[in-house]
This record gives sequence, C-alpha cells and structure tokens, in this order.
Amino acid sequence: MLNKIWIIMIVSGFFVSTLCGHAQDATNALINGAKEAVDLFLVLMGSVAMWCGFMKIAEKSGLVDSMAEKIMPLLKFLFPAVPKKSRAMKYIALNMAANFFGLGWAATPSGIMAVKELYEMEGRKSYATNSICMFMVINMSSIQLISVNIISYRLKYGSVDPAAIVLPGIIATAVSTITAVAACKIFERGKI
Amino acid sequence: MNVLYFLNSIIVPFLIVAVLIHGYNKKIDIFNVFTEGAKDGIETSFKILPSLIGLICAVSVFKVSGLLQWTEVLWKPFESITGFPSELIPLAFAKTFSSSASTGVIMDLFENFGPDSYIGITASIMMCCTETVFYTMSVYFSGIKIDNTRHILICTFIGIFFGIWASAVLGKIFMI
Repeated sequence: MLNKIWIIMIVSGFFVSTLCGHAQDATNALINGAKEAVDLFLVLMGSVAMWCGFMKIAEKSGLVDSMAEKIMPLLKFLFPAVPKKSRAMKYIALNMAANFFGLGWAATPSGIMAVKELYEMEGRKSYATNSICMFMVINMSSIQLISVNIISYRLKYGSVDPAAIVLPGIIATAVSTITAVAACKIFERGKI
Repeated sequence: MNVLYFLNSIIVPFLIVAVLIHGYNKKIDIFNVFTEGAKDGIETSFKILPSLIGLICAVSVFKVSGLLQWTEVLWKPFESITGFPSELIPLAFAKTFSSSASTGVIMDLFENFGPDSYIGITASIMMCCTETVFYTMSVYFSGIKIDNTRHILICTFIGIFFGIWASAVLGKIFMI
C-alpha cells in the first residue's frame, strides 16, 4: 500500500509538473526534499534522544509501570492478546500518554519500540497482527487532547477567540478515534 | 484561554521534574540512565532517516505539482450535494501526508477567509482530529518487515472520514 502511494505521489507529481511546464521546479523540489529530510532528521535526533533519555529514567524507576497500571482496563480492551506485564504493553501506554499530551517527538520513539516489541513477541509475522493494527489505527486517528499549534496560528491571523476550537477539537478527535477503533474491532474478526 | 496556555506550558516542565525526582528517590543512577536512553534514541533516529528521505522527497514533488489544488476543483460538483465546502478538500488530503504541507494550506485558508469564518473554524477542528498517516506508518514500520498491512489504512480512513464530517457539523455549531 505504501509502495502504491509513494509511486503515485512521485509519478503524478512529475507528470503534472511536466504538463504544466514546470518540470524544473519538480526536480528542484525532489532534491530539496532530500535536504529538508536531513534538516528534519537533525532536529528530530536531538529531540528523540532527549525524550528517550527521560523515558528510560521513568521506565527504570517504575513510573511507566504504575501509569500503565492506571489505564490497564482500556489497554486490555484494545489489546486483548498482549500480556499485561509485557514490555510491549509498557511502550503502548507510554506512546498513548505522549500522544494524548501532544508531546510530538516523544511519541515517535515509544511508538517505534511498541510496534517492534509486538512484532517480535507475536512471532515476526509477515502480516500486521490484530494488536499491531489496533496500535497503528489509534496512532493515526489522532488522540491528542489540545492542538496548541492551531491555537497559535489562529492567534496570528487575528482570531477573536483562538481557543474556541478546543472543545469541538476534542469532540471531533473522539469521533475519529472511536469510529476508527470500532472499525478495527470489526475488521479484526476477518480472515488474514 | 490564558489558563489553557498556562496549563499547556507547564506540562513538559512538570513531567520532567516528576520523572527526575521519582527516579532520584528510587536511587537510580539518573544521568547514566538518561545517556543510555539517549543513545537508543539516536539509533532510532538513524533507523528512520531512510524512510524520512524517501517520504519527504515524494511529498515535495507532489506539493510543487499543484495537484493538491486540483482536488478542490474536482470536489466542486459534490459541494452542494454533501454540503462540505470544496475549499477544505486540499487540507483534508494535505494533512494525511505532511504536517508542513497542511500548515501551509491552513495559513492560506486563514488568510483568505479569516480564522473565525465557517471555513476557518472547520479547518481548525479538522487539523485537531487528523494525523499524518503516511509519515506515521512509514516511520513506525521502519524497524520491522510487514508486507500485509491488513485493515490498518481502511480503518484509519474511516476514522478520518467521520472526524472530518464531525468537524463540518461542529464548525456550524461553534462558529463565532
């Protein structure tokens, strides 16, 4: 699927640019994209390393365990196949907390670790298991509580009440996450 | 609103202080553990760099082609049937593959319609309830080998669809 999307983006991008007579811009965009990725990588590396450092402390001191314990009923419902005390469950809890508070890059390392742990634990299957599907769906349907960036953009463009979108934002986020999770619960009964 | 900003600004300081004090009290060699974790973080970053380059290159080419703006034109005929404004279609697409692309789109919308218009409010709500799908997918899967992603994308898009639909309804209710 990712392969298809990737090829569609590049081929259609080049094709349309060529038709519209700005093929050179597209070439420049391609090359600049590579540079942009490395710039982002540098920012990301510092940030990810820092969050991983603090998270390791929270992990070793047992803080993560006690946090995971608090949301265990929810985790058990979402990930019935994952053992309660496993490392995978710990990373899932950590990732969900980071996403919820909108900590951006802090969610990335725990997310990668969670997927990796699930993959190893469930026997390196070539298909996405129910747990992996549920985890990805939750991550991609957004569970962020407050989107601060949007509020600041609204402020910049002279909104009379920049934070007016907080409540509807939370409602819409709940709608998207709940429908996605419900769909996932239905689909996961299907054959692989 | 000030309370909200304040609460938001103390999340990170509070978390870090809580983690450090808790770790220190549990007699953990906090600085060494921090560096150990940071090392893992650096390794993780290097692992996702190839996906990052591949994805951002594709997004840049796609962005510059202007195809995103075409989606708006394509939606025009459906606007009156669905009641969903065509101006918001490019945003819905942009958010699924790049947060920088969607930021650019929403800034344009704020500039043209104002942040408190129906379009402005709905766009803001849409940004809250959607996520950069392809980025998340390629980064999270960078450490493993999975060929069949099963129902991940379809369920995600069901969620996004309902989120956007809710945004359009909520935009009407919460319009200033």
